[in-house]
Amino acid sequence: MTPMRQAWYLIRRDCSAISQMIPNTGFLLIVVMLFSLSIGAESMQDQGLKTALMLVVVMLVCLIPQASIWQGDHDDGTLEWLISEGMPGWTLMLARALSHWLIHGWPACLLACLFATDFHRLPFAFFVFLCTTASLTLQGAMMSALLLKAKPVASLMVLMVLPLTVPVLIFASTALLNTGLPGSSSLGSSLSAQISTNLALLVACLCTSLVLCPYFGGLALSNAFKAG
Amino acid sequence: MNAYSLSADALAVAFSGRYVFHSLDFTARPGDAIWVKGQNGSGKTSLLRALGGMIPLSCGTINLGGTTMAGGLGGYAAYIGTENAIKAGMRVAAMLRFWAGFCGATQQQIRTAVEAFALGPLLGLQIAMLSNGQKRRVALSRLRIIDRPIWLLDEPLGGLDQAGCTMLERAACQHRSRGGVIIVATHQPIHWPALQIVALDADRNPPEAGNRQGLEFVSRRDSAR
Repeated sequence: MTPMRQAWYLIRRDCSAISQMIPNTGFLLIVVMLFSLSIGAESMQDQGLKTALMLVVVMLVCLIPQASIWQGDHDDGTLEWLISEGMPGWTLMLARALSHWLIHGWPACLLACLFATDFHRLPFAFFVFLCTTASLTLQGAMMSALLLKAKPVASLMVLMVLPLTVPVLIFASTALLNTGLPGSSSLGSSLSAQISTNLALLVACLCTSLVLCPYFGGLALSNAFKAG
Repeated sequence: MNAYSLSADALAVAFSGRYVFHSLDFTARPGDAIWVKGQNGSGKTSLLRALGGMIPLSCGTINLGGTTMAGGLGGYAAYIGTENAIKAGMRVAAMLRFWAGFCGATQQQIRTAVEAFALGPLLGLQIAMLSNGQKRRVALSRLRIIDRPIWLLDEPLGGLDQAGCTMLERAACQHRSRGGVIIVATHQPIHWPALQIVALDADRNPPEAGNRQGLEFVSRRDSAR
């Protein structure tokens, strides 16, 4: 069996637990609702506030479930079996990150676009949230693999993932906020340059994560049993 | 399934500069079964993991049908560890279909596995509802689904009742009659015919000249401290 075919079956198996999507999507909706209630509907019209709130909620939705993304497979012997079948670590990482993104990142991305922006900026916001959720998912999956045998994994995860997520959040929020400024519809040259720079940096973050996270995460998974 | 002979020459596994086992040799012809015995911590699981390619050998070589297998037996071995590698939230039938899809097995192989381990009545049940013995039978059915020439079994009898042990023995006999090789590590008594015994004793003598690579590995780590 080719690694890609193995990955396909793994993604299919993971995505069959589609009900896992409900708690996280519910969490996103509840946070937005409570925030609106607490600060008032008028204050929620502020573009900066909306964008910042949605980015932080999306980050939490992508990262919180990742603390135990490998733990279940490690404890029930699935990870050991997958490695014994010769599945490369990087394929395992990519497959798990993709299925995690489909269950948690994708719904968060769609909802965040709807809440954070106006209709005419929807495609742009969608692309930004797509890059953000994908980068965060890959980084979280890698960190979770690196911390597979560490205790307490949740607090270490926070400590190690935050420095990686901050640049992604900054690039995403700057790109989103600049499109919301008055006159940005005509996109003056300096504003346009600022948006495209941040967008380019965001895409660069995603590309780097796509290459490095499967590699290092895969190494961590392959080595998971070498220390006994 | 093709039949292969398997031989191990001067195998050693070390963690943090200390040997778990060393100087281990054995040969298995097609149809042979090897019972790996030893106290707790003598390296039975490490041996199976090293053969399966999950951990690296510190020294020694594994030969399968005359070919040296540098990274372990990989796609030639079916590994059943101490954990079952099954998902509590899945149904038994879905779990079997996943293994079959993942390993490229046919529907016929699934049916053979279901018959061999009497899983018919369990197929529609969620794995979380099964007893430990039933879960073990589901895990063991993977051997028949993925159908590899070498079986690596780590404490396969855990949780099995008498009927389950008989099912495994029957499956093992069929596998051996087709030229398969079985390496089983367990503390429980097994009464399969013509079992070779490989004893892993934690107090074995240090490796000799033939295992220089392992000796160097240890001395390098020790000198670094």
